[in-house]
Amino acid sequence: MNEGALLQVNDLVKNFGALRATDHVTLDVQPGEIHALIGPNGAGKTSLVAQLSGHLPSDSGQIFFDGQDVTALPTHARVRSGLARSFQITRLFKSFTVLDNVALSVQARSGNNFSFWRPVHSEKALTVQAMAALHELGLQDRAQDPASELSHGEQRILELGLAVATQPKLLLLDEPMAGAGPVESERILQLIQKLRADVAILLIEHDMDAVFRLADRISVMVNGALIATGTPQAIRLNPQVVAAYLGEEHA
Amino acid sequence: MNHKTPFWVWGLVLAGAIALPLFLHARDMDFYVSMLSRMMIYGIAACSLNLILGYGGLVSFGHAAFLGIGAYTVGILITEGVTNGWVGFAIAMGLSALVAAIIGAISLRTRGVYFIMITLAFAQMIYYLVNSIKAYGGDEGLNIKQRSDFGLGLDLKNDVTFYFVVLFVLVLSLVLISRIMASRFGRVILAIRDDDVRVDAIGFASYRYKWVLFVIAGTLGGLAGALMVNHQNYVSPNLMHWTQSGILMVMVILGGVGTLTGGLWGALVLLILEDVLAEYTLHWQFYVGWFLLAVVLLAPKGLAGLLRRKSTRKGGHA
Repeated sequence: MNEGALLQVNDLVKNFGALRATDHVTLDVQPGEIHALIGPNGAGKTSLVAQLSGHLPSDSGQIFFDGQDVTALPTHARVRSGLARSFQITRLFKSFTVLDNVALSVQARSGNNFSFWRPVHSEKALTVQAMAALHELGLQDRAQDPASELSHGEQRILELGLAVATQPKLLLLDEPMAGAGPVESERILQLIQKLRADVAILLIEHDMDAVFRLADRISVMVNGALIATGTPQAIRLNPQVVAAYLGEEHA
Repeated sequence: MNHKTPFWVWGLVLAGAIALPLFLHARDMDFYVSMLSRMMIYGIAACSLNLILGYGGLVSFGHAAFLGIGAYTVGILITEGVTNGWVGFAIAMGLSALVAAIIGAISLRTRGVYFIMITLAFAQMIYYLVNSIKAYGGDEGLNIKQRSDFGLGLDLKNDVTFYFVVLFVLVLSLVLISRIMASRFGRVILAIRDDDVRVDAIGFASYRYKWVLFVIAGTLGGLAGALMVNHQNYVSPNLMHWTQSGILMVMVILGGVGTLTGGLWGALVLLILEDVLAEYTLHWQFYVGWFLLAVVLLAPKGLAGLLRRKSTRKGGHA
């Protein structure tokens, strides 16, 4: 077991009937690290994220986060302890404005939410913090627009922003650039670069250029199991990885 | 959220609601005053259902159970000699809250169609339970010898007085609902309607919020029931039959799902339609069906949405 790891996953298993989606996965994320998880479609990356975030119960194995066993904790409790995720398929509050989307993340970690009488719009602190977050994201000009009116790329940024605004210690990013155009992908990549100063990241991404630019370490998943973990350089040269996933192009 | 009805409109509506019974009374048309009271009571019931169905996005198909519990509690208490309205209404609401807490705790663990079926099943259980209580009328229902006594010189037997009591409770309920929905809690509820998985993923235990909302809605439903038994001097198990839950849902859909006053407008329109059409035909429901169809197709946000569409064009997806 790795001392000092922010996230330590031990021997994690998830079965869907006869299919083993997560096959004895052991991995860790160090403080301040970007750890990328790559692998072909259907390798089980999203299932693993769902197990880590608490959306999917695990069949066996443990998840330690920040020194605490979170294996049995529900999602919201994990988020409260600093483990937040973004989604591969955008999940926004579409009837809210962009500002109110982020303000809800701020609200989740501040004050008493079983408050029934005081109008939330009168709480300056929420708006101020949410607006600051929008500036970080570069979405400040869209603050008052309904989230449903954002472009796809902007929705991907807000998707990321909802998770960031919870002020996590570790971000689980499930294909943050999925479906975004080249310009927006670059914006997201810059954002992640900026985030790495404050937060550790477990990054799932299919864009290999982004992965190799961002990651401190890379793990490769095939058929639910990790076949290799190492520095980008080591992964690039790993014959098993090249055969299973990268092909000659990135070698 | 970003569309607000101007304050003077509410003032005007309220002034009309105050003037109307006085006018009708002066013309010896107290019957209509009583009819309006009934509509407003259904309005309170429908608005309370709209809390879970409209704002929470949870299709509860057993809301009439809470009306029944409220009505029977007050009815039984009066039969047993507890005529104090404050006591009766407090117990009625407390019991409705308790039952809502139990039903909610179980049914909110399911989603979609299963939630609809479980809430329906609980309501039917209570319906059959009440049917079997022979001491309080069983399937024949329960007549009350007098109405609740609130002191303060309020004589609920007087149609106009009763009307104003109901109007007061209605306004209070609407203020309460509007404050709740604008609060931190209400914001979480609206977010849950959009995407409850995401609500959990940013750190809220969405289940607890749904549960509290369910209890609030059940309590208000019980309040409407307590008024109902006073209005009819009678309560029968039919008040909690599943078709009653259906009628409340129709009112909400007609008036406007997830709007503050939608339940009220739905109740007014449906009951007026029923009264008017029933004058001409036994098959009034046939025509109500067409009307409902037209509203759903032409005004997806109900009558309240139709009124609002003129004043605000912003928001895009209205």
